Amino acid sequence: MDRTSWLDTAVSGIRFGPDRKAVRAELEGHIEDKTADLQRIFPGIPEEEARERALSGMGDPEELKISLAKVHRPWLGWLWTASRWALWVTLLALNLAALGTRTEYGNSLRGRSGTEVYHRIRDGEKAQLGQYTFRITAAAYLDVPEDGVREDTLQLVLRASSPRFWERLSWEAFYSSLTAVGPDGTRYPMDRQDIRMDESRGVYQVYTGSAGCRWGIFWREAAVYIPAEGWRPGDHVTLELESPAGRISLSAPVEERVEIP
Amino acid sequence: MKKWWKKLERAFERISRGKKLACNVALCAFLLVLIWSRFGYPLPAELEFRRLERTHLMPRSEIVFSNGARSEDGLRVSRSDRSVFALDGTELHLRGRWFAGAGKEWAVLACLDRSYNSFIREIPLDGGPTLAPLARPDWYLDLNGYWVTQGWGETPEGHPAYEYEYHNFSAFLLFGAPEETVRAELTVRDGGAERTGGGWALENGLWLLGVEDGEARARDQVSEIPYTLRLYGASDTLLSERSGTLWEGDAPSFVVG
Repeated sequence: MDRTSWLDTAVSGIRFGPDRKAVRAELEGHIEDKTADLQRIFPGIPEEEARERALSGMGDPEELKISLAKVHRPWLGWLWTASRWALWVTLLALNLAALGTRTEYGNSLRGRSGTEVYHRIRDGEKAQLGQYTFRITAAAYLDVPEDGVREDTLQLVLRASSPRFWERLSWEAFYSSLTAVGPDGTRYPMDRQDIRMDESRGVYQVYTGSAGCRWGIFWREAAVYIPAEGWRPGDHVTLELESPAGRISLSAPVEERVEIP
Repeated sequence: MKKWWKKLERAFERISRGKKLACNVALCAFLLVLIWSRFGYPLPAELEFRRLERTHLMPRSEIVFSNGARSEDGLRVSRSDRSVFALDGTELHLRGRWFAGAGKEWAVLACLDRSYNSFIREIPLDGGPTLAPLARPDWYLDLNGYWVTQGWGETPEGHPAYEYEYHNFSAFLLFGAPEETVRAELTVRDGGAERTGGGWALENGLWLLGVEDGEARARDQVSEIPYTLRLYGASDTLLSERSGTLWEGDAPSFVVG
């Protein structure tokens, strides 16, 4: 049996083409190596004889064929090839999607609106409403410079989390269902904003109201502002959420005073 | 960067083909999620409506109206127009994809058309007939519905010609109409102009009403739109008459787009 027929027989059981080709190349390499070894050990041996001896040393091609067929399962090979194609097609589609679409505000996986969060709190109260877990994640007294426009406020940040990243709570639901209750019991519905601004000096402040501030894959956060008049460290602010789906209430102490430049 | 990549490549060569396959599938899934996010996580219409309910903290309603029927007359003006069939067989076309859901004391109305701006609105039901305009509350009563009549007619010169006539209307959904209702009559005063129209009975006890033509005005030009609704039974007996202002007493709407 010549080398070509030996190799053809040995790999004929491998049904996945790329594997058959690779194994054939590998066996061919082994035969070449063996031939070279024989020629090195027996310098006088003719090349043809060395090749024949190397080939006979490789064993019975029929037996090898059965073993190789067992090891190289074709379906795994095809799946692997298909997965590589799928990966390239998906990468191409992602590039096209990135070129052709503009991600809507807040729909991206992560982002921030520009609203600063000043003092994070770790173990804020949690409550469940619908599929969302609500938690107060920040609370601070914002001490602003006396410029005749802005006034000191209390800032609380409310996070709504859901494992369904494609169903993060709508900003509108934050604003329309939220009411903040100040330390003195005054209620501030968050469906409206009281803005303090002086265009000529570029001064702008949300004095009372809510604004979206950050979002991650599984959550969104909205900042809530209420007047800080009469604040003492440790005063509690309560956030009430009331919607057709139910009602929850969360509160947190405002202990930190942050000076805003 | 190159070293890091080469290390990864070598590590990837060492692992089994099954593990490589699993890696590729996981990577594909991640990239598909990225693509999905680029388009704002679109879903099929009914799931989109359910998502709107959940993300706006509304309880799950029972869907009683949707204009997702396959058009039979094939005379829709735009591909984004959707059809609904009245009980008398009339094919009505509406701009955008609409859903209405009902609970015990409330109904939910949603429009899913991205170009028309999706929105969802809760409508309190008081047991009597309740009118809900199929329009954004901060928009105007534009002509967002039509039905088409067709048949042989004559040209001005007297030659036979096949004619299509489009009847445009501003659409309303009526909840809680009495069962005996056989005819509905609606009049709205939209910025001075009085517009009247009738309606069609739909499944689930709903009616689709439409006031024809008239000069549509932006909402900021019209402070309020008064309406009068009359429902008639057999032999034209007046069953119910209701007057009010559109969107009056509605819960706030959520405009999504």
